[in-house]
Amino acid sequence: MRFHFLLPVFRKPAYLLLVYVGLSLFLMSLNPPAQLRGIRMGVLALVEFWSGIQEAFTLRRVSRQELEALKEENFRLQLSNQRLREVLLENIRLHRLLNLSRELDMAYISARVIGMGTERDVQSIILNVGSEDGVGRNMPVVNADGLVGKVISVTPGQSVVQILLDHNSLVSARLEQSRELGIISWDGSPWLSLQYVPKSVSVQVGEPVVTSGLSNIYPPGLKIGVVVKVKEDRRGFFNIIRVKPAVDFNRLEEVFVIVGEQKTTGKKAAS
Amino acid sequence: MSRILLQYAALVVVALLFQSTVVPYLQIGRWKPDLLLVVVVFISIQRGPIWGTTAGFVVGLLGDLLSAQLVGSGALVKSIAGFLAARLSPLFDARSQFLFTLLLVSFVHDLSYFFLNTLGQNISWNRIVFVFTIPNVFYTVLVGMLVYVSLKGWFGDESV
Repeated sequence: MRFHFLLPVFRKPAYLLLVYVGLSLFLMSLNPPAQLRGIRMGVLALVEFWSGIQEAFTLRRVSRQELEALKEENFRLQLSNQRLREVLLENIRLHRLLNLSRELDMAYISARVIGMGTERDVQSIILNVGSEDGVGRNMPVVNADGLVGKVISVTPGQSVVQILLDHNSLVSARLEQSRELGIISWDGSPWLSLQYVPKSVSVQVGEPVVTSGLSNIYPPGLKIGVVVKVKEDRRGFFNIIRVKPAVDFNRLEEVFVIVGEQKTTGKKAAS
Repeated sequence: MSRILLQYAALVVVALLFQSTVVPYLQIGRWKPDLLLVVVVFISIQRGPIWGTTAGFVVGLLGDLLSAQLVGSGALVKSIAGFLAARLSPLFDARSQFLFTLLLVSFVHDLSYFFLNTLGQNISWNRIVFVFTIPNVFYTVLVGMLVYVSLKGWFGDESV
């Protein structure tokens, strides 16, 4: 208890609480505080080490490398399938108008989920890849089923991802068939919420929702989920639309961080 | 003194690792227990408000660094929780002290946590209290009591 004599404030619990409250508010205003990067690195490395021990005790019949190769292949096929679907719809829609052909090539790296955030709700996951692997802030994270979230904090070896089931997550989205734009958010219910779609737009249950591409973070066409419920808001201007996420956030093991994209556009001769 | 400090530091590290890697498997729907809060309440009851408040701040801050939430928000609510736990625990008799302290502190902690995290969003108080807070509180108390029995064995039954 020697340090109590150095700082009188440590003798009075109420003063100490005030100091901690002030410090917490200060940290919140700094967010993300660069000064705590070292501690974050240490804590995340500890989680990775612990996760490695857990994994070592798990019996695996398929080798890790083989499994990862298969998952990556599966992901590539799913992604290609999603993109083809998007391209097909785009082609039908634009065929008579624009003669636009567009390709989107994404560079991605695979990552393993080594832990979850400590929040009360499911709001974040921890990955075993970091800035040394080419991961940066705001990079989209996906798996074979669709969009998972985005990277919000990176250390050299690990990164923290904010998933869609986060009160602060907002994603610009589009209804795949009607092409209507909206914002995907989460209010704590089992489903995501698609906001700002006018009541005049007819929305069908089962219609897929994808990223719109109107943000600097998410490329277009990544599957977010499907519409499961549409309700008219009698007092407002917009529909109340519930979307079932394409990703099962309770079973996330392997994900892919999209580290870059290359867009090529060209004109096709008019038919 | 340094031995006790080391013991508590180890306890905090283990709680952090379990909260991040094991507790997600205990999740039911959106509800999961908060081991970090259990540890803060435990230290508060054993060592008093200074240790409790400090443990709350440190544990909350480390938790913030392991998650996507605003750094400092967990430290804020957990240091208040540590302080409250030490102040409330003498009101109960030794047998039920941990149970009732954890119940009350967990309620205040979760309410302030969800209030902070849903600030500026169109989420009603009813939803925050009945959907987010109360189920989480009961789940934390249930798991907390099991953890408490083990901790009591390792750390002894002393309280200030």
